[in-house]
Amino acid sequence: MPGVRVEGLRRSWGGVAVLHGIDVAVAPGTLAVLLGPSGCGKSTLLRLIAGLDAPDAGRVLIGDTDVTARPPSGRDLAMVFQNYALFPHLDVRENILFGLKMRRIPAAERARRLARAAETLGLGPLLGRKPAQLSGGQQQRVALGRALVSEAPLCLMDEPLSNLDAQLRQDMRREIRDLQRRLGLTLLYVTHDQTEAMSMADQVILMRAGAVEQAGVPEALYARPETVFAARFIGTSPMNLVALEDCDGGGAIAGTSGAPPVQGGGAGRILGLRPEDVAAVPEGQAGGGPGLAATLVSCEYHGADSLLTCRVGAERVTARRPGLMRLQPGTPLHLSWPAEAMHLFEAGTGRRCPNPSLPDRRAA
Amino acid sequence: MTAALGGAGPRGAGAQALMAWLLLLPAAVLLAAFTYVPALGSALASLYSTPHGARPARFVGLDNYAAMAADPVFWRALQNSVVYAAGTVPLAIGLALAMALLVNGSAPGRGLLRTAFFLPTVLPMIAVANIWLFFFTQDYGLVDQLLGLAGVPPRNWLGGPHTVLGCMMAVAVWKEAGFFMIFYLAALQTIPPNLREAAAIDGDRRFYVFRRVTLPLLMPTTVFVAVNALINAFRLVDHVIVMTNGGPDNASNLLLYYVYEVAFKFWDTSYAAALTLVLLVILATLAFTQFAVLDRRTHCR
Ligand SMILES: Nc1ncnc2c1ncn2[C@@H]1O[C@H](COP(=O)(O)OP(=O)(O)O)[C@@H](O)[C@H]1O
Ligand SMILES: [Mg+2]
Repeated sequence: MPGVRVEGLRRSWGGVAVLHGIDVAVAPGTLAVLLGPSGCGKSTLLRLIAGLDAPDAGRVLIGDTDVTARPPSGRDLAMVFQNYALFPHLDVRENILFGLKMRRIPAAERARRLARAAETLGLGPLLGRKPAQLSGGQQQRVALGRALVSEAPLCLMDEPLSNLDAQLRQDMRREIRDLQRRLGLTLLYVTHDQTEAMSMADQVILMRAGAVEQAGVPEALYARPETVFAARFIGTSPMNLVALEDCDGGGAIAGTSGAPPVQGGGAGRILGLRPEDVAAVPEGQAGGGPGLAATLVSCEYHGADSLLTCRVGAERVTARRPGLMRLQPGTPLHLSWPAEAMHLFEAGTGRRCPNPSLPDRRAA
Repeated sequence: MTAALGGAGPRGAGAQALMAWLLLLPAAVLLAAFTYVPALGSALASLYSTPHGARPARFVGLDNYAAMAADPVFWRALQNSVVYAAGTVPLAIGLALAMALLVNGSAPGRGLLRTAFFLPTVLPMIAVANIWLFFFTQDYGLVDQLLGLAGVPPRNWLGGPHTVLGCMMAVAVWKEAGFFMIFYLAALQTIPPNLREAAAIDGDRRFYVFRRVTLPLLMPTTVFVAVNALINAFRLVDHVIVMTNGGPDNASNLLLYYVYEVAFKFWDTSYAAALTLVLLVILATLAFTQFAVLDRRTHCR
């Protein structure tokens, strides 16, 4: 199985740069997710890798071969499009066999691959139907089937699940991951949904405005976001990002007094706290440990947990608590968090800076 | 309104039907007054003799049709029309499709090319005929000038019984292809680019993709264009009137031109009515068969 490497890839549309020099490497047989908000250039990057568009500069390597100048058909890859791109006038069987017939694969071999794909994806009873007679999930399977029968070692998928409902999306996510592992495919998967990325990927490549913001295993992006953008994008309820100001002996959340949460200066820095790292208890029940006084603003119940939004000084901080919390807005709360849960960023550049309260884990 | 129209009982259904008929009435009246009544009138007229001065029309049954069967000019015109249709329809469609494919891409200058291809459509047929009259002029015309470069001797294109029908067909194809191109162009733009891209990833056999994807997806347009082209082949004779008057020796006489000749040059209106009816039957039959056959071959939607 070949890996994919992209070096210094640039592309602009009508004078507007959409990709500013992308470097990405996907290890053979792994699933990499291109993650980023809509319009950040994910599809453009995928299309350059597929050869559907040509880059202005840079190289695309599949395995160790430079394929930048090759047409899509010369790159030995399969692609699943966001809207599936099924041929509306052909039935499921012909849709799946289309590429094989074009490449003049012998009939016996075609039949073998079709049978296997139909079996794998449960398409057997649908083979005679036209795409218009299929549900979204079924169309999605057909598109997957078309990619599978090509037996290309590299597969590209552009938001393949975005048209499905939430339940189906979860099932398909698992199935795709399963298939990728079973067949040992190298899979480059585009999505704007961070949950999808975190739950499927061997490697997450987070993009922002045409550049790679951070790439790494999902745990790394969650535990050590390198920028404010990454911190805000990863995580189901986004990380709290609050401005710090200087105070006696360190930095404190703007408008608070009491124990400074951060050693070193506060001005020009941003404190990041994941809601799940913040402990919020009603003022009276606090154990008396170090912490900050806060006032409850709102309480959202999500079933397994509740999100408590609190006012702390001039800022707002959200805490996540397991189970149901019935508290009136205005209730005084006591917030605390472990020192290692604090992420510090420079306000100007948005880049992570070391947490002086801790020996830097990366540096250590 | 909804309640009155949507009533489920027998009274509701009756009111609904009445309403529907009332809504259809204006269109039906116009259609009847200008299409069915004249058609029936022609059918009736074809059963009578042509009135001449003091001699009024009298019922002659199928005499006009019998005369038609024995009329060599009718058979010649019919044969010419069939050849003309069989030649111009596929040629115009093929050319229209080829031009549409050419200007649908992102080649530079395609805007100009589109305009150039479409231009013949906006010209009146009379003007087109005059332009081509010059093209076909012996010695000095464009056709002879160009062929002269290749060493072909000049000839009298419109005067030759073997070349004149071909010339008429060339004019018609030139005039119509640009119009049909617009329909193909519109249809091509509705084909999602993703389909072509999906195919491009599978392989680079462009003709295979054209045959298996583009052409079937264009089938509804082809049905529409084919029906129109066929009807036009029997309907448009302006260029015959301007360029040849059906000559020489009826070599370019088309059925509709013959109707015109019989009605307004020979003033035999009953015989013209009979000819018209035959033309009508031919056109109706062609249109219906075409719809039936092609519609079945239209896979999608
Ligand atoms: N064919 C194109 N023509 C012009 N602009 C384009 C084209 N394709 C993409 N873009 C622009 O490039 C940017 C990135 O688009 P895209 O790669 O589709 O983003 P994403 O897939 O991350 O949502 C967008 O601003 C979009 O408008
Ligand atoms: Mg996209």
